[in-house]
Amino acid sequence: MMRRMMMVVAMAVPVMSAMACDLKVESAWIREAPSNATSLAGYAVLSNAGSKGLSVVSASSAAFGRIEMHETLMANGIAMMRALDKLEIAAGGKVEFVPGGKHFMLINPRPGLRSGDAVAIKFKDSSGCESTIQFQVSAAAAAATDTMDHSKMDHSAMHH
Amino acid sequence: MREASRAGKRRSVYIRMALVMTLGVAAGVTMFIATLRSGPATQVTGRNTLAALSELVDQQGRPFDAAKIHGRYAVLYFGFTFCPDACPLALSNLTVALRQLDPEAEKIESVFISVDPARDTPEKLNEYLAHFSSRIIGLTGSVQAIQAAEQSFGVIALEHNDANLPGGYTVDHSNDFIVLSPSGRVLMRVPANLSADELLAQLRTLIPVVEAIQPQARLHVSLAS
Repeated sequence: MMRRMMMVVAMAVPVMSAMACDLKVESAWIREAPSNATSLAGYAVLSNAGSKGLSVVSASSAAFGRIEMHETLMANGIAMMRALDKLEIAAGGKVEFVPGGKHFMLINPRPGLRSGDAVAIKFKDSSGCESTIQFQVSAAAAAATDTMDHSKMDHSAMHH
Repeated sequence: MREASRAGKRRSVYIRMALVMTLGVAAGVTMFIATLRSGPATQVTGRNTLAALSELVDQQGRPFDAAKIHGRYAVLYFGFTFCPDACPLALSNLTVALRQLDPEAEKIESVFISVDPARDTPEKLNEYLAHFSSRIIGLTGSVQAIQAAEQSFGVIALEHNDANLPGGYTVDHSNDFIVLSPSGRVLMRVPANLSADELLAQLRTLIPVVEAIQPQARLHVSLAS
């Protein structure tokens, strides 16, 4: 009985992860930084394809010690970076993580990430659905002009 | 008779209104020119602002020679290398604007000044700035010297503790490009989170205006180049 249950669980997990999640993460990229940087910033467009609100529960990757959601806030000309405790996306809604705004704080990166590399980040939403998204590492200076192009491109559909 | 005097009175009112408006516009233009000449009243004089930078060292660890800026336009940005979002965005915008401004970019010194001297060694600055325009000079120094530079340019920088971050803190800081005239005076502050195109437009508009009003600016530039 116990063994059968475990088999069911083992079969269910890959089915779950292959299922399309309501949380969509697209146009995902990471700004290239010096190889000894202690944190990098990741950007993407997050949307909720479902009919109910959802929240991002966690993001993790073998390439980073820890991933947090952060936001750069401006007040009286002063930039302040603060952690976002949670992120909720309404049904059919969209939240953009862009330079100078919300971003993924990628703490303690694996050294040597270079422009052109792809890094897998696993997201878990409040429905328990998990999806793995490839984030493209892009050169810092190019990123400023590329922002527009990134928003139009759908990296999640790209094959590497 | 009465009609004529009323019409006359009305005419004199119009003339007076026109006069007041003309004077107002003239006063505005004069004030604008005076601002460009002397810098806003709250700013420290050019010589003092540059003197504060002379106490700092560049990304090669060499003492910074502020005379390098004198006679040229300068764009200053105060930030720190542990800043993964706002600062790279600012420096990317500056890099793109400088590339677009070429060859006019020759007239501009770009300087990144650390607000986190405890962590930003010259080596750290050097590695960080390698990702942006090679024209950008990085400066760091003692805590006192950095504070003096911040004060000279009216920059605010405050440590904010966050135990989850590497090192346990981030730095809240003024997020502006500070544009200096060739005589070292603060001409304007441009929010650093604007696009590269907006920064470029501001610099493109400003430089000819300053050169028209301050002939000595052109002189300094030609002496320097």
